[in-house]
Amino acid sequence: MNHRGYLEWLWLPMILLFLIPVAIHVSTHSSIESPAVQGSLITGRDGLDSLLSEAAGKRPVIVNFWATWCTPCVAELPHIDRVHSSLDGAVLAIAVDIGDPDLGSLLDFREAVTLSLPVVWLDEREAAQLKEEWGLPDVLPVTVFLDATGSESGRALGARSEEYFLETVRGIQPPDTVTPVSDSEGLHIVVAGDPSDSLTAALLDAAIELAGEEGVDSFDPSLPSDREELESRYLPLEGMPYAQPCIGTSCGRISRTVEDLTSTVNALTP
Amino acid sequence: MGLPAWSRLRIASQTASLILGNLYVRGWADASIYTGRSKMFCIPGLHCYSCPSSVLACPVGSIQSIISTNGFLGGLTTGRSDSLVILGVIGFLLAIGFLAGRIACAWVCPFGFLQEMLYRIPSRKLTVPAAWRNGKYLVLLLFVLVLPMTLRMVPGAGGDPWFCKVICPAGTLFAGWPLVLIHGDGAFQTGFLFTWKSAVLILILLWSVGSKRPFCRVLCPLGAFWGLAGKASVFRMRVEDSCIKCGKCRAVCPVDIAIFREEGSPECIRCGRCIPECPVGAIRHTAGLNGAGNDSGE
Repeated sequence: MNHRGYLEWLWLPMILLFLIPVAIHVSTHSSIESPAVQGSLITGRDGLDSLLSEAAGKRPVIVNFWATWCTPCVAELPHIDRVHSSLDGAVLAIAVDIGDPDLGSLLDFREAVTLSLPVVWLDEREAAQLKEEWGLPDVLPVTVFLDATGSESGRALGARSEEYFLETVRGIQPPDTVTPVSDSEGLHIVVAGDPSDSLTAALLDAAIELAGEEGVDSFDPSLPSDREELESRYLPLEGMPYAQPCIGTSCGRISRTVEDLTSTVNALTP
Repeated sequence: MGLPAWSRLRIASQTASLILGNLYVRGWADASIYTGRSKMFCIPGLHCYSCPSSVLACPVGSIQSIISTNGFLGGLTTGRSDSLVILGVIGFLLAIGFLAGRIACAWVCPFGFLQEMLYRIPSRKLTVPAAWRNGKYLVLLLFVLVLPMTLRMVPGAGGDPWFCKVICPAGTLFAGWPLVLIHGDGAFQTGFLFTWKSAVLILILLWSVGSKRPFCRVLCPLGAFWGLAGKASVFRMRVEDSCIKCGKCRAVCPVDIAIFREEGSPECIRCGRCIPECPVGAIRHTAGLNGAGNDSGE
């Protein structure tokens, strides 16, 4: 091949050259993505209040409400954690688990996922009290932005990207309060339980009625593949049957009765 | 200036697109990004969503953003709305592509317009080897589709828009640089990627002075997409047998193709610049399936 022949093929290494920044970014980011040290775990409302009062007057705070069974929340947390760690203390991010009555679920989660930001766990009573005080909807994730004075500057429903959090805390774009999806079109419900059980059947019927057959995924815990899928979504393997409705990047709480499921879906689709 | 009416009309269209796509002028003063309802729609061209004045989304950015969400393929099969929205974006691009191939590259795309303006700067001009055009198909496949959909830095989290992150010069020019200039680099922690993309942009701008629309021809994934769809487009160029192969069409072509050799080329941006240049009037627009429709020339 003469030099002209080589020139013809120069486009290939030129394009592949762009893989270099990808590799560098992935390798350097991975160290931020997976912090070596797990952030602190604080239990109880007092712990949350002391974190907030410590930050008030000094730096903005991102308060993210989540739960281990909320798949969009789990996907969103590393983005918030990256903002928390990359801004080097300029912004405090707190992940408040208000959806796991059992602390064990959160401890199991922390075995698998490392986050540098502080995680606060509230029991059922404290979570309900906080939801009422803060006016939180029955939807996760919810993120409340507090400015440096400690006043709420806005909130976002549904999972967001790292760019969104960065731009919001820097004031480039205002935190919006808009629910990402406000109709039942994108409703998707996971039903987990023994299919021969009457309550599972009732939940499944209700789910199909609400979301249509295509909008429902049912999992039988006796099948290893289904258990694996539930685990990969961080959905509980205990307390079945249950149903969890999601719309887009917002999920409702885990519901164990038809009435509960209906009211959760109503909360998701105002 | 001796520009033909057709070219003047095209410049007017490109300028109008640039203005209409950037109506949120307040964004420059507030240093904010417009997030209104119009951002649900894509501009038919490469123009960054994060440009302070942009009122439309970028189709390439939208595709990456949608397919990089966690569980995208599953969502597509189960009909999840945040996955299904990809069909709207692809449908929009395919409609343009099947109608007239890369026509938006000529009449709308702000970054194509910029490259054409730069090429007017007097300098030594260089041709780009025809084989380099293949580069954009690899960019489309690798950086817009495969990497955003598959590369996960955190299990369970979404992917990244890699074309935007490591290549897109339009994003650097219309969003990255302005936002850093306004806010200061402290706010954005400009690091390695910003430096890399700035270097890419500078090289492409310099290259555009010496070669015709090099980014569109070698790197643009949108051009690759429309080029492929344009192979079957309704509206295209046609060269009559009376062509004397003088090469005047190539001399004025913004993407440097000799249309008499490459009739139906995926590179053609349907600008029509070659039509008035042809000394024997052999080049025409044609509209119809398989190019066998009604002809229209100048």
